[in-house]
Amino acid sequence: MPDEVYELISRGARYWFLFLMVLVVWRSMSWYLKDKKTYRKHIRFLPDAGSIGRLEIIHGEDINKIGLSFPVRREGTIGTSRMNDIRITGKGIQTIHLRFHFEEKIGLLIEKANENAFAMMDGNLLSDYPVCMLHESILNLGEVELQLLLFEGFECFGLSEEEIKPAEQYDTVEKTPAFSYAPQRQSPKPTKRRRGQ
Amino acid sequence: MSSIKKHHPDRLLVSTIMLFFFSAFMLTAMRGEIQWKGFILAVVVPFLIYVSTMWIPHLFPADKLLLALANFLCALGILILFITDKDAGTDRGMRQAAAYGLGLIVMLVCITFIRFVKKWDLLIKIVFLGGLVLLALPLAIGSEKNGATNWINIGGTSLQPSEVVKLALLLVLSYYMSRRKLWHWMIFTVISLLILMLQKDLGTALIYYGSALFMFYASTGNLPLTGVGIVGGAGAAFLGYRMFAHVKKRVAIWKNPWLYYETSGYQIVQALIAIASGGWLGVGLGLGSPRVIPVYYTDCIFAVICEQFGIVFGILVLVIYVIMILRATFIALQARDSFYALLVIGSTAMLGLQTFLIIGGVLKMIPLTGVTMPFVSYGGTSLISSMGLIGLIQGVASLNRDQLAYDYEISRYSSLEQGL
Repeated sequence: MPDEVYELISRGARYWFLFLMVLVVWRSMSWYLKDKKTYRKHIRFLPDAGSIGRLEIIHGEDINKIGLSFPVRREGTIGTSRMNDIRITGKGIQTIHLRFHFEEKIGLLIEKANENAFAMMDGNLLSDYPVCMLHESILNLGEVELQLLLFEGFECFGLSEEEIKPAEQYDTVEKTPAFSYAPQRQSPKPTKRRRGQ
Repeated sequence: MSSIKKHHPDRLLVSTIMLFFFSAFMLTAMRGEIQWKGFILAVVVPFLIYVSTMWIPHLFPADKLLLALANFLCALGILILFITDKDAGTDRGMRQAAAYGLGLIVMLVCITFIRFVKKWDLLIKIVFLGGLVLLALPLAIGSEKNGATNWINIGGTSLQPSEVVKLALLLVLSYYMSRRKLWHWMIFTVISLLILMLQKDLGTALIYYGSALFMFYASTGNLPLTGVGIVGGAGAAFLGYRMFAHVKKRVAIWKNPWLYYETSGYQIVQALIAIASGGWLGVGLGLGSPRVIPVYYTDCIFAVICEQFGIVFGILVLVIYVIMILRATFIALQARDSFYALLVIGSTAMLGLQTFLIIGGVLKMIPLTGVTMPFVSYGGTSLISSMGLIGLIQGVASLNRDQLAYDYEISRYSSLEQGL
């Protein structure tokens, strides 16, 4: 193709390429915004998506907060700071008070975030090692009392404090010696809350 | 009778992108003598874009928007290199196209890894050690290019280990940060930075440091310590300025490139002239003089894009990067595990930082650092590493979709049980 003809076509094609580029950006942006909207609809339909249960305040100095529940995700922290996944304010609660994470086939493991964080679970003082929380366990943080309500499908085995090793060693169920002889809960089968209840 | 109108945003976007590159390669192929390679690329590149955007999600529930945009940028790089190949007598366009194909495979491998590996302990330890060894290789058997000893030659092919180790850095940092093992990730980061300083690859060191700092803030939320990190980074940059002569030179060129117009400032001056000469709409595809810019195919490829297509087009390319970053952040926020969330956040930070460094350097906002423009710049290792980043993000996106689908399944099952 002669250079003059090519130059003419190329100069004319600038508008074509710019038009297509604007179209690409426009469609990408509208797709992205549409997806965000759709995701928000999903979450409204499934408010508990990603959560394994809820922590409900059953006792505290602030009467207004009794009954307030927080979604419990697979891992997170509890404390007074806004950066926590579960933000609970009250006397005796640290900025980051507790850490929790969910291990498959073991359950929700909870541990102190620092030395000064005092907490009790089902009447027992939490030590430095993670402890497994069961459905309907009571957690005391400062002046606030919380109850854990697990959704159906998230089983939890009871492990005594001495038998629990630091959570990082729970690679597989088989590696956890406590699992093979873990005392099963003798109380009646706890009722599990279904999602959305 | 009602008609259901189905919107297919993926088909609309992909068809626009395919049309763009089909017409661009066809036009370029007719420039001067007929170039049959141009006709081949006019068919192959849109086909690869279609396959990777529309077929890969059939294997895994991948994020099509991210795929489409990454493919667009890769194809844009191939187009620019192909345009300049004829006059330069080089074959960079075809080699970049081959690297793009390889990059798609690497992306699939990364997606597979993220989806199917459940126990990361042993793998992370291997990546930890392997990454450091690979990064240190250029010090032993490497060759110097453009002032940095960060290349190795394997069987006639040049490889830049620091580009590959980026993926290792992300995996190691996100693993240990999610488990709050401070020393492990700090040791890896510090050793990596030291090796990069010894290689004088300061641009990559900046990317590593910036990404690590961003991930640290994301995992801890500790603003004071992050501030200390920023101050420390600034201090290290100042030390680098005092210690390395080429850093001093780059800062001097950035301050006033016109003083060194005929020598060290020639590259940035020509890049600025190219952007200005393109104007708002560009000089036209295949016209202009992009080869006047030294190393136009890596450092200053953005200047070539602006010259050919115009400043408006260049701005829209930046918008594409922004959309990719927004999309990746959206994926990170949906992740249900801190490891995956940090992995995506780190990948996003790396992508954003690298884009800022190169485009900021070309536009003289900051001194030129010599890093590549993600997906676009010539370089097999760089392109493969960028596609690997996208693979990591896509892997997490596919896990998110699986988990959401599972949640829907569970809620449907619960509703059925309740007789709803």
